[in-house]
This record gives sequence, C-alpha cells and structure tokens, in this order.
Amino acid sequence: MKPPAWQSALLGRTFLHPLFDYLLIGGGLSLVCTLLVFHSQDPLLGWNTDSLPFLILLSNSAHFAASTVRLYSKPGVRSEHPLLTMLFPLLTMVVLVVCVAFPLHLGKHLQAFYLTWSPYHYAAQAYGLAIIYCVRSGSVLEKIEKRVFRWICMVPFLLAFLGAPHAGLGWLYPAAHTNPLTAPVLALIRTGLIAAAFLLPLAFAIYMYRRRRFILPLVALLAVLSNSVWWVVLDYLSAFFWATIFHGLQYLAIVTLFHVREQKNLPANQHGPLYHATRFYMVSLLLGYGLFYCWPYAFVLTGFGLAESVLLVTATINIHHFVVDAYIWRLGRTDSNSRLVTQPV
Amino acid sequence: MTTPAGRRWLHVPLAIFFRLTAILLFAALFAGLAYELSRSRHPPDIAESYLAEGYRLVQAGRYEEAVRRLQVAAEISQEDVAYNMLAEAEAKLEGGQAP
Repeated sequence: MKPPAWQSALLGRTFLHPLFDYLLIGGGLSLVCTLLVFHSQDPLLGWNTDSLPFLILLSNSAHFAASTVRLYSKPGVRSEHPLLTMLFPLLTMVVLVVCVAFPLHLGKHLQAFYLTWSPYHYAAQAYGLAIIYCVRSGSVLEKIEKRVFRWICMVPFLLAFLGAPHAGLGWLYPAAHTNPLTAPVLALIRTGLIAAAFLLPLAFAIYMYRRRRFILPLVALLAVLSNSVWWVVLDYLSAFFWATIFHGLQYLAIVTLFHVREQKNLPANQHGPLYHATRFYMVSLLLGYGLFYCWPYAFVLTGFGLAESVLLVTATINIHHFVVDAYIWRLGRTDSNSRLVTQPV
Repeated sequence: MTTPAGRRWLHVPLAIFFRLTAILLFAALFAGLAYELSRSRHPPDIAESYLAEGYRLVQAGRYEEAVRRLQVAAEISQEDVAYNMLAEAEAKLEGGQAP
C-alpha cells in the first residue's frame, strides 16, 4: 500500500535508503551518540586516546581529502574553475610556508581564522544538505525563503563566533569575554541564540506549512538540528570531537553518493557503484593520511617546529577544504550537481 | 574562480603551476612519510615539544612566551608536570623574577 502524500513529503525523497540518509547524512547517528555521551558522562565513550586518532583518520581526515578528490574527479572542472583547480593549491602552499615560518606573528592568526570559519562551514553544510533534500523532494523554496532559512541555519555559527575564546569575537576583540560591559551582554545573547538554534528551524517548518502548505522534509530539518546539537550540547559536554567525526561521516556519505552517480553517468563507465564508492573512499583516505600525518613532518624535516607544523598544516587543509566546498556543491541550473540531486536511485 | 572569457591563454601557465604544485606536494608527502617512518620507534610528541620549548624559555627568562607555550602543553597533555611548570612561569611573569 502506498503511504499518503503528506507522509512521503515529510519523509522526503532519500538518496539510498531512509535509514542511511537519516542516520548518516541527516546526522541521526550523532544524536544517538550525544545521548550516550550524556547518559554515560564519558566524552570518549570508552575509546582511549590511542584508538581515537584512527576514528578521526577514517572519518574526519578522509572527509577533508574527499573534497579535493571530488574536485579533481568532477568532469570538466578544470576548464570551469581553472584558478581554483590550478592556482589556488599553490597559493595555499605559499601561505602555509609563510605562516609556519612566522608562527607567532602570522600562524596564530591563520589558526584563529580557520577556527572562526569552521562553524560557518558546518552551518553552511547543514543548510546545503537541507536544500539538497528540499530540491530532491520537489519542495522548492523561493529566493527570500532560502535567505531566511540560511540565516536560521547560521545561528549555531553566530553562537560559536560569540563564544569561542581564541576565535571569532575572542580573536578580533580578546577582551570581549572579560570586559564587564560586554561580557554580560554576550552571555545574554548566547542564551538567546541557544534557544534560537533549536526553535527557529522548527518555527520555519511550521510557518512554511501554514503559509503555503510547504512540507520541509524531516531529513532536512534533522541535518539543521543536528548541527545545533553539535555546537551546543556536544560543545558543552566536552565531546566536540564526535561532532567532527559525524560531520566527516555526513560529508563522506553525500560526496560518495554524488561521485558514484557522476561516474556511473559517464559513457565510458564499466564499473558498478561499489567499485566507484570503494575507490573514492580509499583515495580520500590515503590522501587524508598523507596530508594530516605526513605533510607536517616534511616541515619538521626542514627545521620547523612540530607543533606549528601540525597545527598550521591542519589549519591550511581546513581553509582549502572550505573554499573548495563553496564551489563543488553549487546547484546552479548548468551545474551537473542539479542533475545528480534529482536523479532517481 | 572561473577564467574570464578571452583569457583562455591563462590555462597554459596555470597548468604548469599546477604540475609544479603537485610535484612539490607529493615530494613533501613522501619526504614526510619517510621521516615519520624513520622516527616511528620514538614518535615526537606535540605536548612534549611545547613543554621542552616552554622550559627553555623559562630558563632564558622569556616568561611571557613560556606561559603561552606551557598553556598549550598543559591543555594538550593534561599532565601535572606541565601545569606545575606553567604555574611557575606565571608566578615568575607576575613577579618579574630573574631566572
């Protein structure tokens, strides 16, 4: 028996299977993890500090590399974005070398810049995923509605911007959290933003339904709310590394789906989805290992300190990833992504 | 980051830049891998490196820089030795003591 139309619209049109999409891409698994951390009061959930780096390599490091792998495997991307694909890597490397050479004057600002941008990137990913599911489910938001929804998705970023001690406002105006005039105002704004991070997405969904019977797919709402949980609850529980792991998993799942569809659409394709997915992940994993675990040692080998090499290589890879992501997820009419989003399973 | 129309000639130097970057990056990755493998028996520790640097700066009387390094060492390692050294450096910084 076919479910009623409203039920299908609420569930949304998933990519692989509702369970996969809701748990991995929507971030449902991260909410289960948050509950476990909260219940056990153990931020590591039984993992020790020796085994946790493997989890980070498998998810987070691979996800950073995956954006680069996707960038260079996307057909026609070099002629479409020549500066991004061919010049930007060199610029990134030059900035990295200069910052490693002057860690106290430049490096610390690069670090603060990446830490400021990171919550924005998370929020933008949540918004992007929500829009992808809306488009896929046939629920298209108007321009002004998209703008409002984007601002709602940015609330966790604003929260992190105002609250981070060494990034965001704490970087631009270090005394903000200690100044007797600004500190209480900031605390008040942050309390308001915490409530807004959870209430506004729900209010938007209800408003849209009442306004024009628009049903926001639950998986889209889940992606946005998961990001709020990461920046509020996990941060509070000192378990933010779980957020980076689930953000990585979420990214790897969606980017692999796009890559597989793209490769399968190529006329010369001779392989199945499992081959493309495995190959894409293995290349990302290998590159992630090289970038995060080998590249810093090249700087150490040339006489730079290990700490600044590791921290600044990480910061640079993050920034490169943020910039690349702004281009590879575009859903313009001429972009191949639009075709991939609406393509059936 | 698209190339403006009529500037397609840019593709040739850009492609050369890209190849050079790729060669440089992969050379760095392999050098880093070789270095890491050669030192895998005694992997250097970031907290340890900050602690040693902090200790050196305390000895040199550069307390402000030492406090910054030791704060990181204490945060990463969560070990008593880092906290003790940090407290010592902070006290010396406040008191303006000689080493």
